[in-house]
Amino acid sequence: MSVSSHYESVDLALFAMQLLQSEGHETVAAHVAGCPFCLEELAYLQGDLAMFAHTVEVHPSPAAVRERVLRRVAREKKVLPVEPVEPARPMIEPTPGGEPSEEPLLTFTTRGRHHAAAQSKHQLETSDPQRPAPGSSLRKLFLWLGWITAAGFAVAAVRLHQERDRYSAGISLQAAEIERLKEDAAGSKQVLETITNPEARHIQLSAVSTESLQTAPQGRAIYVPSKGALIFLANGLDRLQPDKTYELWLIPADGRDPIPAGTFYPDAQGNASVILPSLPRAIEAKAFGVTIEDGKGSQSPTLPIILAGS
Amino acid sequence: MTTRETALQQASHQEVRDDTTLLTLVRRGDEAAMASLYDRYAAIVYSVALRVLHHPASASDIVEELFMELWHDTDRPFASRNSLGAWLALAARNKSIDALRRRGSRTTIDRVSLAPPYDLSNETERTALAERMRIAVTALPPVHRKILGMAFFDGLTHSEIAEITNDTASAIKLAIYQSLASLRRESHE
Repeated sequence: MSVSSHYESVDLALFAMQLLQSEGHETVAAHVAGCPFCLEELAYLQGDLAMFAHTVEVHPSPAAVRERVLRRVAREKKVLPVEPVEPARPMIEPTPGGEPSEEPLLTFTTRGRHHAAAQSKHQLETSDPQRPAPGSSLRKLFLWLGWITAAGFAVAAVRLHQERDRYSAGISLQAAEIERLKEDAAGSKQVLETITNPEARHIQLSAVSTESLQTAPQGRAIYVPSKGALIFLANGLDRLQPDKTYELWLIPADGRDPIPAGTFYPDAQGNASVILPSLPRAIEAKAFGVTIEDGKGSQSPTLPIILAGS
Repeated sequence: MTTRETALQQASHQEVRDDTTLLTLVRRGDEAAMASLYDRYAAIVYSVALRVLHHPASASDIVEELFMELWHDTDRPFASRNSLGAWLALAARNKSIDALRRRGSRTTIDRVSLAPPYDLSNETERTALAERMRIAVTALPPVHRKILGMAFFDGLTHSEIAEITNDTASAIKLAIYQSLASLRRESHE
């Protein structure tokens, strides 16, 4: 690994794939942070790797995950930063001479008395403080009208804003509902197509050993290899401890490792199903099996096999 | 409401929106924009995670984790470029490898912008690119293709790959470099 000036592209590629040992990774990270040349090459390499990532066979994300994510999004609202508000600028009226007066002329009335909050020296000398200046009533009226109008607009704006939020929320809910119905319809259609597909393989699964089980469980799988579509139904299954789960396995015909095809729990009557789990396409199945696994399932089956069929 | 906010709000109801607009809306807490980003990229995120982990439930967890990270933190390098799709694909791979090895995240890509040659927010372009890349990968020598897959999708180091293939570590590095160079040429053509 060259560290004299810049790292070689392949070393940066290994770094981008996080394949360097911990110490090497940190060394490259420290170098890259201060080296625009390596940083640029790393950006290109990561772009290349992202392109390579897009060569995977695309499977739709399960609808349940979408629902889960969007529910969390709705629950975990973002805290938006409050934008600073500019302080109000004092209103300065121009003096008769055209120059703005040094002090504000804003007046206000309290309990019938008229006060000058601040007036120019000239006005203080020429006017009677107990007596309103000519035209001041009209001015007061306009002032109050202005405030009332502004308050009215503010109330209307708040109501409009609330209504808009309400409508937006309603539209979002309806859009989500339409999306859900579309997904349901697509799912139902796919189930129907799988069941009626002439290429579908129908596999009967039976209990490998019934010694420890109250009733003999059995299952039935319908599998279309070209589409990677699978429907599995089972009955007579025993209930499991809360930390255990049943897991369905597809055993490929080409000798590869078993592929997990979904976890499931039986209902009170011992019935269970796995409908259209995400499976790679074009995998010929030699057999299907069901095992009992811990927690959320496993990446390799744990003996004993509860149900099997080929 | 400012003109910009109005424009963004209107943009949020359009059928086709670019990633930058959607990210701006997500930053403001727009749930519909978040749903749009999810619908645009969930499949590739899930597919990459599934390819690495071979386990649908674990791949689903990666999808949830990644999109919730996106919801809570949009101030990342992808925000300034139209590279969200590339970032998500690579982040899905890295998170899956971390999960596979049960180690903490090394967060390489959080610190670096990505420079994908395509606009991945456009579905047509994304599909066309994926097809071209698949052809380019198929055109690689089978050994190189296998080595790149072992490094990228299985997370094996060049030394580990060398042990498996009974080759030298430097030959493995060369194969990885040549494969990536070939893919880059193809993507820039």
